[in-house]
Amino acid sequence: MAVQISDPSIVINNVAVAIVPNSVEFDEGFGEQDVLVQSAGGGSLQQVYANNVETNLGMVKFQMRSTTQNIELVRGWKANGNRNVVVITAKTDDGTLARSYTQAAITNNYTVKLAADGVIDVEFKANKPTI
Amino acid sequence: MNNEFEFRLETPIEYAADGEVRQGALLYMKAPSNKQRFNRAKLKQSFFAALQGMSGEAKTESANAEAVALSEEEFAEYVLHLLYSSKAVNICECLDEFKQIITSHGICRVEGEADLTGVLFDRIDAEDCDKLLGAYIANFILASFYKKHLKK
Repeated sequence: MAVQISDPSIVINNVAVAIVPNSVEFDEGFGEQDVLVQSAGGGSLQQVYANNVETNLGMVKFQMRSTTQNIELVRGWKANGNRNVVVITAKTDDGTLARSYTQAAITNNYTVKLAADGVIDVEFKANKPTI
Repeated sequence: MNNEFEFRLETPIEYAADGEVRQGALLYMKAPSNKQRFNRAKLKQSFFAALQGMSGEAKTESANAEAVALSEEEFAEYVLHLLYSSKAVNICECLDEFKQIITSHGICRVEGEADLTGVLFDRIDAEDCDKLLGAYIANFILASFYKKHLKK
């Protein structure tokens, strides 16, 4: 039986953090690639595979509730520049997910919404994750 | 009483520092402050409860142990043996109290770079954790008892 992952554990700088359920997104850091064509003339076409290495970065984003503790945590990560490590893990009956992002930095200019349903959108960019 | 001691894990753990994932085995331990007084008191109480609650046979062993002087390492092993073998002690509670102490900010640093957090504590090998518990109690919580009764 396949199980959808919806509540992974997030550990940042060795500390487990509490997040808004269903808010985690990450990418694998493969970035963007393109397939181009070059011509040798006379109708001879060759394919050229292009990897845009500028986009070969990992990304993790999630939301946190606007509590004083969370506000301080996010502030600390932002001030820490790219000296953060973000680890996502999840375990279900049919397998385990683990991604580790090093040199992670919060790149968005996050805002803190002070409301009953207020959340903080946190987005890290980092090295391509290791499994 | 020493204010610090170093403990080397037999099985290194992974930890994050400066944006990198590293392997670490050396823990720099500091004595508990008054902030951890209740956890400290609970561990100390457990040791003395174990001493008091021992069976006749164990008491004889203890008497022998007290008759000879022990090195700090031997005393740490003795403390651990006593806690685990005593019916008067709930060792799970002891481990919980110990976890709360050493995961407090600034008490234990992995390779001097990162605080030992709850996440890192859970990564420590169980055997290492036992030895660390014995060493911590021997060095910081029962230091005066050791010096008075058992020091070589």
